[in-house]
Amino acid sequence: MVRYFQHFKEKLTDHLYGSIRAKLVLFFIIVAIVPLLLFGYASYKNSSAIVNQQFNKYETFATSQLEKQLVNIIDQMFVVSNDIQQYLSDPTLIVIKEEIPKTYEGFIEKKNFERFLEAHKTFNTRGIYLITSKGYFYGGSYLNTDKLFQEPFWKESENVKYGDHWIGFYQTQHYDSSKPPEQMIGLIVPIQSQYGVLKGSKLLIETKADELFSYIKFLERDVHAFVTIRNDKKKVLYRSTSDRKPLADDIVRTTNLDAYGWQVEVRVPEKLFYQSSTVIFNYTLLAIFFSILLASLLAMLFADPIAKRLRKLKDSMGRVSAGELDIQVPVKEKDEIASLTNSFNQMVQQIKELIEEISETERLKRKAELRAFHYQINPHLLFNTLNSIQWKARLANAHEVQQMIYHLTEVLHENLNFSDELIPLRKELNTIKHYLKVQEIRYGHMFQYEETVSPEAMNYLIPRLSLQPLFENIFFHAFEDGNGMIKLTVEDKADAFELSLSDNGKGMTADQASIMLQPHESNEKSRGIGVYNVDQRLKLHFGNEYGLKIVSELKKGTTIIMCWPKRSVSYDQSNSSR
Amino acid sequence: MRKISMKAFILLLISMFSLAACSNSSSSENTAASNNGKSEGKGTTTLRFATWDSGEALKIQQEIAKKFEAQNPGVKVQVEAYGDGFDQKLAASFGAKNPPDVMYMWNFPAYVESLEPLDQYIKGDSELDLNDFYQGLFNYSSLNGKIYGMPAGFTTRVVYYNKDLFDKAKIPYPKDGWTWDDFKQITKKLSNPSKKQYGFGVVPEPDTYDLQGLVWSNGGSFISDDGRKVKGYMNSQETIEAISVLSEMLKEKSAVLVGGKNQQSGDDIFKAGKIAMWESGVWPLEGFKEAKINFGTVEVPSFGSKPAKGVIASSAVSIAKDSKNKDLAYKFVKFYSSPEAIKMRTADLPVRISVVKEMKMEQDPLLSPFYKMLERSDNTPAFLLNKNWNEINRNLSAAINAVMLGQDAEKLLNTAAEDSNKYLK
Repeated sequence: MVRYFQHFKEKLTDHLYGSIRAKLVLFFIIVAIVPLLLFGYASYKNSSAIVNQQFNKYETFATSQLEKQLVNIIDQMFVVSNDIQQYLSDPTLIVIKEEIPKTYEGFIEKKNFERFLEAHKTFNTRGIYLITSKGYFYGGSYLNTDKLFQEPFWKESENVKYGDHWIGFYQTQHYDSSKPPEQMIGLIVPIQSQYGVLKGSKLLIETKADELFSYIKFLERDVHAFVTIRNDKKKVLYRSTSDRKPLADDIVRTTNLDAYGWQVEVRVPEKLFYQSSTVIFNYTLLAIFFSILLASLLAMLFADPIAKRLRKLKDSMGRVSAGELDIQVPVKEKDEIASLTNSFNQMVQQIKELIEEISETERLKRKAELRAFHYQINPHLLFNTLNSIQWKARLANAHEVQQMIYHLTEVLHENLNFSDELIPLRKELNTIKHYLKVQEIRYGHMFQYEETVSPEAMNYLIPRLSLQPLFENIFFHAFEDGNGMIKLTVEDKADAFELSLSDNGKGMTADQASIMLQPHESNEKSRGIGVYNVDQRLKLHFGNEYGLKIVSELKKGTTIIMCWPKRSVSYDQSNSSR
Repeated sequence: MRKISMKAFILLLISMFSLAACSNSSSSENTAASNNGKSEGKGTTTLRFATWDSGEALKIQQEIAKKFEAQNPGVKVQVEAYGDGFDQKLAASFGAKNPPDVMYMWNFPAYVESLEPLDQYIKGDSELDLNDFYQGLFNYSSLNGKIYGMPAGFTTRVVYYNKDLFDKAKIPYPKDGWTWDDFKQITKKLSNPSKKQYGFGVVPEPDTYDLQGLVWSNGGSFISDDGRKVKGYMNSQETIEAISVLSEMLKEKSAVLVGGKNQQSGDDIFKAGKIAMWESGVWPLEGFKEAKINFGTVEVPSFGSKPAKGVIASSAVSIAKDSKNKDLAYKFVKFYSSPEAIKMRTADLPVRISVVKEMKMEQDPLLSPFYKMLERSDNTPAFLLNKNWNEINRNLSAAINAVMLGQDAEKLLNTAAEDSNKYLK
């Protein structure tokens, strides 16, 4: 379980940090939620405060109306009952002498008394009755006293003594049974008549409690209140029918009707009291929920194209890294991603070109290696043959031929040796000597050679075959029939050497001299290709600041100045051992 | 693309907030609406109509009102059922100058000051055919030569008899034209006090209004035709004789007191078969039918050769003088007495001859006596003749109540006439 959770968490973090879309969703949600939370909290606070206040006023109003109505009804019933009792006990008035009228006078009295009762009725009065112990009654003709005497509330009032009264709520069962019972508030007062005819009679005043109960119902239905009405003896006269039990945190409003000692208790469950705020709260929550939904949706709508484009770019990169270099990601937009894509496209293009270049050089290199291999094979035959010729020449006493072949062999030996790129200057100069011997034999003693080199310089390194092409050049172009003067000087210049090779040959113009160091068409026969190669090799070995310089004057001669850094054998070994 | 979605986002946000705001405001509107639930919609005229009916009869009137609303768009008829408190509430509303526009009416002398005479409207209305109404009914809704109420329904009083009890005693069914002597003999034969079986039921404290037919049949009356004298009328020999018919039957125990305080009503006792005959209007007829009583109806008996007379209980509809929509009120009154509406009324009898003919009511043996009695109801009831009839009636009914309990009719009616003199100008 924990592992699963951890796994989930990892997955979630992966998701969150691993995807732009998730980040954007998160961003949108935060952007939506923060103001909403603030707004929602403020509106919830304010509106719920207002609503609660209004609800409170509402409830207070309904409760006060209920109380007022109750007091009014009771007041009025008491006024009426007092008036009627006074009438009945006034000796100057003609009052009832017979309990049940039988005579003309009796009926006249009854009618007068009923008119008196009638006059006390108001809009809400259901009936005012004087009910004798035998069940005869004054006031209307609809009452059924047999039924009335069976009513619990009437039985309760039996115990009420003169001077006291009974007030309460009840449903009318004592009228025409075909009509639905009505809700009443009734007052029952025992009558004391000094004439004794009405002994045990009671006055019943019934007031319709519809309006009163409409307030109670209003409180019960709209305010979800639990109403309890108690009389002065703490007896419960009314209690809302409800399954709910009174709770400690109920909001209770208790008011006393001072005149009668009644108590009206309105009990609203806390939850329901704050129901309106709960509704507002729920709506705010709902709004937040929807905004999250919306934010996620928008984020997806937003992030998807971006993520898609980035993904496309990433895929393209993957394919490029896998070697597919023909990829170009199409660009329609003009945003940052587009410029990124453009750069990517350019980069791929460049890489492609570079790789093509590299593979071309690689191809050429392989070709050169192949050629070199070819040359390596041949020298054996060549040297063996030359040695044989040399021996044949010695046997034939062709001394000159033998010398010539010997020197040529030495020169070729060096020329065809690929083992070390850098060789000591001494070795190179040695080869030059053999070369010059060959030329001497060819041309006779036509030229002079002067060499000024310090002995310590002899041990420093120089690229193989970097002097011979220069000499060849002199013989090939500067001299005619090998006639002239050659001077070679090596000067020690702190960390470099400067070698000058001068001839007194034909010379050339500055233009021609500069052309010699320019890259040539790959025509091997063209002039000065060797000189160019030497310059390039020096630059390749030691850097662009080194190389050849040519100073020449037409008809006077040419000086080639070679400049290269000091490299001893040990340095070269450490370098080549890499 | 981005701009559009940004705008959409903002729009959505705004709409969401406004939605939330809407739901809040609508809930507050709801509470406001429930507070003012009684407020009326604009463009409708409310016509108030007060009735004393309740139960089934009230439902019929509400249906008539709905039909009127359907035919008159923009009019709302507010049926106000005053029930038992009709007089109280009506008097209060007249006093407050805020009466219903149209109301049920029978006690014209009490309210005539507050009612609008209809003659003017009737004269200007070519559609209304007054001759289609039973003319005797206008007698009951007119005062001082002016019509104050349009008849809507009525009943006369007939004698119901239990055919099974007659068959058992082998007595032929009573026929129209019978006399009080026949009546008394029949009641004697059908009474058996030891089995609490009686021929007839008498109300101990009857409404003197209902007794007028009996008195008129004997040529008597409670008051002079000009309404100025009671002496010599209320206590005339004819009146005393007529009242005594009932008290004598009670004394002889061929009739029994029913419907007094804490007693079963006469209707219920007739239904139980404990009285063979019962005098009443059309009201209990449907109930008797429903209770499957084998019964018949017959005109009230006559005194010898004198013509039998009847009294009508009528319901009319009147317009309040203080009504603000009198023309509309008249339209409603007219609709209320139209054949269409009258056919819907089943609690009492149709007031239009054409409707009665169409529904063949005169051929119905149970209903025809009512229409015969209508023809016999050409006397004017006492309450229409004198303004102080209420006061006079107190004495008269005290006397009659005492007579029903067995006291001397002549002596008490003399006293009542004497005591009532002070109420006459």
